[in-house]
Order: sequence, then C-alpha cells, then structure tokens
Amino acid sequence: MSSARSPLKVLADGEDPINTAAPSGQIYGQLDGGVYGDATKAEINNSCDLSTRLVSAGAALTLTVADHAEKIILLDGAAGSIVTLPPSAGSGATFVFLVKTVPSGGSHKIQVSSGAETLRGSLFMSKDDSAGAGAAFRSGNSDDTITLNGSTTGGALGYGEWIEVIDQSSNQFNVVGVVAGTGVEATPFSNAVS
Amino acid sequence: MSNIRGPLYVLTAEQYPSQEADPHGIIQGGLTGGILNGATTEEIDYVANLSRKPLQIISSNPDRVLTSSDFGKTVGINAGSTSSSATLPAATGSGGYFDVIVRNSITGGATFTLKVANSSDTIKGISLGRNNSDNTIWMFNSASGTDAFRMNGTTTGGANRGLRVRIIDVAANVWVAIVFGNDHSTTPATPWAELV
Repeated sequence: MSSARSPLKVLADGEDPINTAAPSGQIYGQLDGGVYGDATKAEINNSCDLSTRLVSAGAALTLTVADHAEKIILLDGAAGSIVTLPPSAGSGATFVFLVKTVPSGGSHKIQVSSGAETLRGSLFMSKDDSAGAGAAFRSGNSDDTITLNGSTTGGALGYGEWIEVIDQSSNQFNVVGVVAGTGVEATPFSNAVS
Repeated sequence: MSNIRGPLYVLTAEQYPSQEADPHGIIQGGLTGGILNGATTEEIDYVANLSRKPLQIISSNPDRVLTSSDFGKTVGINAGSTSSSATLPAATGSGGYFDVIVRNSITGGATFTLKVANSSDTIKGISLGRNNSDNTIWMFNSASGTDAFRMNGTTTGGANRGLRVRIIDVAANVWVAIVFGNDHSTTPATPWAELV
C-alpha cells in the first residue's frame, strides 16, 4: 500500500480511514485515468450525460471529437447551420444530426475540414410528389459536403430528419440518414471543400 | 477525519494515504453523486447496463406506460395477434430515448401503437420501410399533429421482424422518431396517426 499510485478507498460506515489496515474495498482505478476500465471521464460523459446531449449548431459550429462525439447536433440556424466536422482519423466517433429548423434563405451544411477528406454513404429522401414515395442518393467518390437547402436536397420537414456520421478512417467519414425533399429532388452530396 | 462515513480520497502519485493529514483532495460527492462531472450513475446505467435493456410488450401487458426511469431501454414488440401499445412520458427536451424493435410480427388484425402521453406532445419522424411484395422503398413523413406511430401488421407496417425505432425526447412537447426497416404488405400506408 505504501507509495501506491492513487488508490481510492471505499470505507464502510464508521470505518476509520486512517487506521484501516485491510485493503479490502479499494478501487484501483483513477478518476482521471479511466475509472471504468478504459473509458475516460469525458467519453462517459459524452455518451451518457443527458443534460448535455443536445447541442445547438446555431449559424455555424466546428465539431471536435472531445466535445461532440456521441452528441446530437441540432441543425437549428434560421438561415441554415454550417457544421464543420473534426479531421477524420478513424476514431470511430459518431455524430448525430437532427434537423430542427427548415432553413430559410440558406442551407444546412455538414462539411469536412479539409479538401483531402470525403463523406461516403447514402441518404434516403422522402418525396412530396406521392404518398410513400422515396429516393436514395449515394455519395460520389470525392464528395465532402452535405447540403440541405430546405427543399430539393432535403431539410424540408424539420424535426424528423436525421443524419449519422462516423469517423471511419483517415480522410473518410461514413454517412447514413433520412431526410425530406420537395419539388424535383436532387442529391445533397457535393464536392465543395477545397 | 477519523470515523467519518465513506469519503473518497484522491491522492497524488507516491502519496501515502495514512500519512496524509491534509483533507484536500477529498471528493465531496460519492460514486452515486455524479463523480463524472455530468453523467449520473443512473444515466450511465441507461447506456451501459445491458441487464436493464429489454422491456417487452406482451399480451399480458397490453399498454406499457414508459417513464424517464426507462430511458435507454429497448421495447421489444411481441404482440403477435394481440394489440398492444406503449405510452411515452411527457416530452421535456431531456435528451432521453427509447429503442423499439419488432421481435414478433404483428398478425391477425392486431396493432401496436407507440403514442405520446398528452395532447400537447407530438412525434416527428420519417418512416423508412419497404413493401414486402416487391421490395420497393416506402417513406412516410409525420404530419404536424402526429402523436402516434401505429403498425397493423400489413399496410402500416410491422409485417415482419426487424423494425427499429429510436425515439428521442428533443424538446418540450416534441419527440423525434428515427424509423428504419418498417415492413409493409399489400398497399403501404402511413404509420403516423393522431390518436391522443
């Protein structure tokens, strides 16, 4: 026990912390080093803390893995929210986006942070031309931006539209989601980051 | 300092606990008080405790009233030919969620209904599914007054196992439902309804 590194002692009711000789009840993890095995305090909070799960994007928001992984990002800018992803590194971090506001005079955008990165995946889009109609759009090999313009490329419903992005490898994100379009629907994917 | 109840010591490396007289570094909260500066032990339980995940809707419990204490649980629909339902807690914007899965196809004219707790609450979502006769994709948007998601085992879905719904309490009076893999038969129709 002497010179041991940062043990935590759980004492029974009435137990003297100074004179307790038996090592039973010690927690060998550290608060700052991962009390629950390998997960860090920040990782547990990001996944579990309901009070901070919903994050407003506002007009613009730049994400970091440390602050936004496992969070739900609300696309709520009145004229659109421009959200920039953190650099992709294969971290496995997941970012969930919910459209809260149908953008007026602008678009919601989810974009990578550099021209070397891409968004790869598919988005399903409900259509307004007949009940039950839908379409699907797959990203091109160089696409790096998702644009929801509030009509043809999605973002036309508001709450109910969602996109999930996973940092799957260096320079590449995985994308899946469901959005709502109107008019002559068009792909939300584009290559726009240089 | 002696004989007090259950304090937790945080000691720096090489610090010997029995010789540490200065009480600095004591964590005032306990393990149950939110040591993670955010997530409570209950919230960690919502996400990580597999033993509390299943929450089946069965014929002997035709209407299951969910509470915030059930956040993170999975509602497994075992309805078969018996109608059943689940009632959500009031939406407050807590960020809490439930998962709903079809474990057993809905048959014989039965329905399963996921509905809000009061007439002020709504459900927003897009149901993504297929027609099981030709594998075409069918998508249905909720309407402004939608407050329920109902499957009848045929046209409105639930015809086969595999449906997944994650429903999230995103704001006061608003639930958002992510619906993936709804299985329709005959002529697909919207599962969204205004019932409450």
